[in-house]
Amino acid sequence: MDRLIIEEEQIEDIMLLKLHGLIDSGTAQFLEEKFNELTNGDSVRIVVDLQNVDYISSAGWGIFVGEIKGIRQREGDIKLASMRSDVREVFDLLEFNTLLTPYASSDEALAAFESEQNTKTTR
Amino acid sequence: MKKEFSRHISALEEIFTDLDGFLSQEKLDDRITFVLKLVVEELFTNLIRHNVGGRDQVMLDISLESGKLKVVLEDFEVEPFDIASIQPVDISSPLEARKVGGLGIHIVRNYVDDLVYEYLDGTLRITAVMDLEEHDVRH
Repeated sequence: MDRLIIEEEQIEDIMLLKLHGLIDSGTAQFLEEKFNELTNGDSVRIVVDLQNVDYISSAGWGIFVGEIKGIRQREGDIKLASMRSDVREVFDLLEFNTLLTPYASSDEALAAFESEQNTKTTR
Repeated sequence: MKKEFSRHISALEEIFTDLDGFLSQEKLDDRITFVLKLVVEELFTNLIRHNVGGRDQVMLDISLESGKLKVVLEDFEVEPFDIASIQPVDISSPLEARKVGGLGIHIVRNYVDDLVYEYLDGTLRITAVMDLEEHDVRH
């Protein structure tokens, strides 16, 4: 059985990744490879839906922190959505809320991208 | 639960499977399952990453007694390394200055009540204790 499954859904220029399973030291590399594949293909606006992820260790959080720097330099972003309470607790413990804004749902995260785009367009 | 595991990241899947069995046997809830897996993974991966030398196998011993969950990891034929001496990561630093390393031990220190390092005759032993009754493992 796969321990981490990544579903992709392209919504205009935003990539929605729906993750299922767990992100630990054994599966984090799979996630890193997915991010590399996306950014190599110029996909830098990414929503990660964590509704079906019940565990993220430091190896997983390290991937998000490692990727976000390069993605923001390219005017993209990673938005995390639908974190479960245990996962969110570690996210807060590591004070990642100062680096990444968590969203209650994928729809909210997608709307935030749209809102940012509109702000840029109207400047 | 006392068992030897391969000294490799790939052993984590087997470790988690065995932890599930232990937690189910002890009738511990999902919350404790989550925390115990975090603590075991972070200690196990730090051990693999930092210890020099070592046999192919490490020993993992987990027990529950009087409301205290004890995790003991033993690494054999290694040079001394005190995992508890790792400097805390600065989690308040901005993105540009953020370091990926050190997050694991920060997580462990938050969830355990005692973290003890012992080294004797080439064997490194790390003991982490969580008092389930006092803290509900939430700090």
